[in-house]
Amino acid sequence: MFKTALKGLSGHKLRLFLTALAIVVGISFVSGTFILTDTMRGAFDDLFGTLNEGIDVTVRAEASFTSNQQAGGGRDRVPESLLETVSAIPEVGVAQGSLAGYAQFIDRDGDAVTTGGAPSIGVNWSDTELNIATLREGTGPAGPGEVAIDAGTAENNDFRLGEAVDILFVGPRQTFRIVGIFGFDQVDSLLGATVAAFDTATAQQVLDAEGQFDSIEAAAAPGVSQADLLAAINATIPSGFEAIGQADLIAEQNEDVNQGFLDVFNIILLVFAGVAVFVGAFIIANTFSIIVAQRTRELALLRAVGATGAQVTWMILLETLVVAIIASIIGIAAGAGFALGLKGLLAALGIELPATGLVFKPRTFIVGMGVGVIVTTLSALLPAWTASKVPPVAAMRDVEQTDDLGARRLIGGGVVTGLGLLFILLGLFSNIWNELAFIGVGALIMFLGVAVLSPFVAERMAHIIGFPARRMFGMTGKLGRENAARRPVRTAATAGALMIGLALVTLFLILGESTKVSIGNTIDDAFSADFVVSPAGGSFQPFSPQVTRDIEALPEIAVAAGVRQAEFRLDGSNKFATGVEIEKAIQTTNFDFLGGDASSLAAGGVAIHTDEALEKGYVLGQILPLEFAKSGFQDIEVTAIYEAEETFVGSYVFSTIEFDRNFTADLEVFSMANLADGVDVATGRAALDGIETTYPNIQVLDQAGFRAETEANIDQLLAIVTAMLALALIIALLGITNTLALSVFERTREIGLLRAVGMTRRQVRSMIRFEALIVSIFGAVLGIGVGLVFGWLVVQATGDIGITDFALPTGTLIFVFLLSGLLGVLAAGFPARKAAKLNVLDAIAYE
Amino acid sequence: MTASTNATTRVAARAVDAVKTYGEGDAQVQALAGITVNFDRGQFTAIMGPSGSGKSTLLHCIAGLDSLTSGAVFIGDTDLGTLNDKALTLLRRDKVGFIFQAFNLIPTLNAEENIALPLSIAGKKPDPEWHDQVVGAVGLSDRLKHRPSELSGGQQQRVAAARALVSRPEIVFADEPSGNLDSQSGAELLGFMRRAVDDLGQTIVMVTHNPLDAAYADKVIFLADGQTVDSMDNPTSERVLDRLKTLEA
Ligand SMILES: Nc1ncnc2c1ncn2[C@@H]1O[C@H](COP(=O)(O)OP(=O)(O)O)[C@@H](O)[C@H]1O
Ligand SMILES: [Mg+2]
Repeated sequence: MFKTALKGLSGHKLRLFLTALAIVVGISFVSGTFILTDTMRGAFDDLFGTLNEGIDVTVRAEASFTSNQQAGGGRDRVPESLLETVSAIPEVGVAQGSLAGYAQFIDRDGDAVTTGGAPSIGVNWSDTELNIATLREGTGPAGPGEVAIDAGTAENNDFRLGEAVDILFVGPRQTFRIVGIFGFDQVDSLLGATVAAFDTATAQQVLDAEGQFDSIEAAAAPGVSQADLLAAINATIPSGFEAIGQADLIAEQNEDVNQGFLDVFNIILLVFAGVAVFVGAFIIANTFSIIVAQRTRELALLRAVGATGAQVTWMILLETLVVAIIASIIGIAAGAGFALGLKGLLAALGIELPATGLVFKPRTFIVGMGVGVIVTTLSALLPAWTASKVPPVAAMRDVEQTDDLGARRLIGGGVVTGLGLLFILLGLFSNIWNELAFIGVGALIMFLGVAVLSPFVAERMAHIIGFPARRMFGMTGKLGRENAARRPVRTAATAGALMIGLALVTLFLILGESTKVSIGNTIDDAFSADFVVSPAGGSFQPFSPQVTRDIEALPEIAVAAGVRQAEFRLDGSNKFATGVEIEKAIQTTNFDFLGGDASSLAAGGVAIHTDEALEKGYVLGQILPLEFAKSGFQDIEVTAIYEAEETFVGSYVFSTIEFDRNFTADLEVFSMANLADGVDVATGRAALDGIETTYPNIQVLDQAGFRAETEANIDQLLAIVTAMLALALIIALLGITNTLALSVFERTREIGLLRAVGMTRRQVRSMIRFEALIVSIFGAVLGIGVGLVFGWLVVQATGDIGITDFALPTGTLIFVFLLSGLLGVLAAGFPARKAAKLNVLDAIAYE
Repeated sequence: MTASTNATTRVAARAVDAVKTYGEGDAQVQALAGITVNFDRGQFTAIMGPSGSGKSTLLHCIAGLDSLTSGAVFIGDTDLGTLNDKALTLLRRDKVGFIFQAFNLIPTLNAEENIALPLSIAGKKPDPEWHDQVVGAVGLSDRLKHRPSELSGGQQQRVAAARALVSRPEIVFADEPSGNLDSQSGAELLGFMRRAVDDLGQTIVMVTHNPLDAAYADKVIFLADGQTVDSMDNPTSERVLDRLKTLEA
């Protein structure tokens, strides 16, 4: 049997190549995802190793809870005096105080230097051996007005030694002379971060940390073990501070990264990879069932000479297995290329990974292989089972095969579709534990159901879609149309693969459009401000409150209110806090106080959005135990209940006094300004232009401009999602190529006859293209249809997170529809050429 | 009218020193070993000979489905050797009709559409009178909306015959058209082909194994080993059978 299986394989090279391609593409996405995230983990590992090189123990402020430093949930700083305390401990060989904070370079063109995610930081230059930076040129910074910069930043911005450079801080913008350029061992930059180093006194001044460090780092004296050092330090430092060993610190930092961005990144990529694999499974199943159908005679002959049905099934499965293993190996290898591609994409977005080699873990191989083999084998189960049902007498028959659509299919398809819909509805509208998983699994089930049902409409749809082709292109159009209609199951399965990708694209397009419209309306509702200040050029780097102060100081401006954000904890879950100067914020933002007022909030406590308060049962005057990274547990009184646009204002608002007490966040995410009485917009705008020149890291927009900017950001996100889904579409197009190639093979004789009675090669090609066009348009109709249903449901369910209005991106959807047809025609290129090249005599030869 | 034009118009298709070899070296087979033959306009010619004698090859080469190794074939005055694939295709479409032994019809098209196929590929419609005459002659008027799977083997071959005639080709080629039919259906088909020559003025060249079929023809050409070995006018099945016996001996 094994030999027969292998013979079967080699006899159908082309079909198998096409099948394998679907597996290869899907698996390369899966393995590429793992390779990339492992590589990134490795990069962070290296980074934290570098950052902590030579350090045995770190001393810092205690915190029961921390969140991302950049989210403003950082620890409190430590007093400078702690460095002397630690240094004085006999077990300490050498100690340094270190400090880091916001510092953003201005480049030669006067624009702010952005990083695309990595921090823009200023640090103090340590003269001890613990300094992880190594000077490449010049000297370390030694006084006010001197800065040393990392080699990566110097290179990217053409900053040279001795040159003056402007830097933005929490405080005012300042000018420095570059006295040194440093690297980190061999590396030029820390994952793309820009680093400005000052002497400690200057750093403390510009980073707004007079007399403070973030932490103290110590190395053991010769002969002292790390454990002894840790014990000695712990015994000496006052309460409120903690010492942590290097290994623990690195582990902690890694965990932060892994649980934060990397895991999320990994999951998102894997979801896209899963979609690709799912589409691939469709194509594999379809290909194998076509192959089984085409080999009916051969299989029947095997049965006639005594092979059992089970043996036939095993033979097909064995073939499948061989294809799956080979294709998975190729896919896993191709994954490395895929990871490189993604890495390049990230680099293009400004997220530079270090030039370390790709990390390939055994896990990547195991998962890639497992997914490839399991998905492929599952996809081939049904065709293999069908093969066992081939009766021996079929060897003697030669009849045109047809698809019969029985009641079982109708009922089964209906049940599966309904089940999928049920899962989606549960996920969307009930308080189930894992909503996203329910929606995702529901969507997959529903795709299957629709695919099972769609053959019932395939013939009619093919006739309807193909009608214009018949009318306008005569016989070639007619034949293309009839060919698309003649095998409804095959046509529906091919179209079904396309449906999945297109349904998801449609869903995201609808979500994007609805979000845009909703946010646009929200912006109109949320702000009464004349101008909105936000980070320039789509960067998300928060900016100094000095910007807002300078704007308010303009005579043309009446009031300017900045908004800060940070995380805290309540009832065991992280919450976002908004920090504003409430008396100013009520002039720029639409706030309605339902309990308490601006002055009660200004005095302290927290204001809670009425929806959140109702849901959680919080009331005015209640004391809540909030937990902060900086200040630990605090009893905070609810001093106001308000109604406002949650998207921009959030559910927990603190006024400045309370915010500063509990958070380290000192940068603003956006701010708003109102014109002074009698000042027209143009005059105000002119004055604000000056601010933009001083602070190139921000932009000042009027409401319409801010709305447009926000919409542009959503579009960009949408473009990335669509690019990821493009892979699923490519696999679906491979499916069209595959099915058509198989159909051409199957209809060799028919095409030969057409050529014999006078059909030109060109006409043969257009006949095949018409078929592809009809199949892909059918897929587009199904996909966009299902996508519309998904989109509508999701928008109905997401009113509470800000998507309130259902909006259809009609133009884009029409474009997607037409593009699908065009791509379908392109996918037909290979089979069409193959059909046109058929040797007429071979094709009509009988016997 | 000069003698030369007379000669060319009298001949619907011809082969001159036609040679066709397959394969190379030891495996080389000479399917046509230098055949010269004329097929007269308005005549029904049958080609006979033992299996492997080159009958199908000759038919394919004259019909523009295959190319010669050397020599020339003409349809009317057109030397097929000078035509590229596109021109050959158009020639087949406009000037040649085909009836194969089997698989003559497109399964997705009904009988009427199959009959009109060469015309509709050319973007033309059949001349209604001629169409009705042909369809009536093959006796398919009540089967026009049926698909091939709903027709018997004999009916399918008659549809193929109607298709071969409906575009008024200069010549119709048939390769064992009754090979898959029972004798009753075969007789009906051959009767129709005979009438097409007599009543409609068609030129038909038919390969056959069956002396009964050959008796419908005006003339029989005998092939052996890729060469013409004999010809017979106004054949009867008995004479054909006798001749074949000597050929195969
Ligand atoms: N495509 C081909 N390749 C090789 N040899 C061929 C091919 N077609 C025909 N032949 C050989 O050419 C000879 C004539 O074949 P054919 O014209 O089909 O004979 P007939 O129709 O008289 O039975 C035979 O020996 C046959 O084996
Ligand atoms: Mg033959």
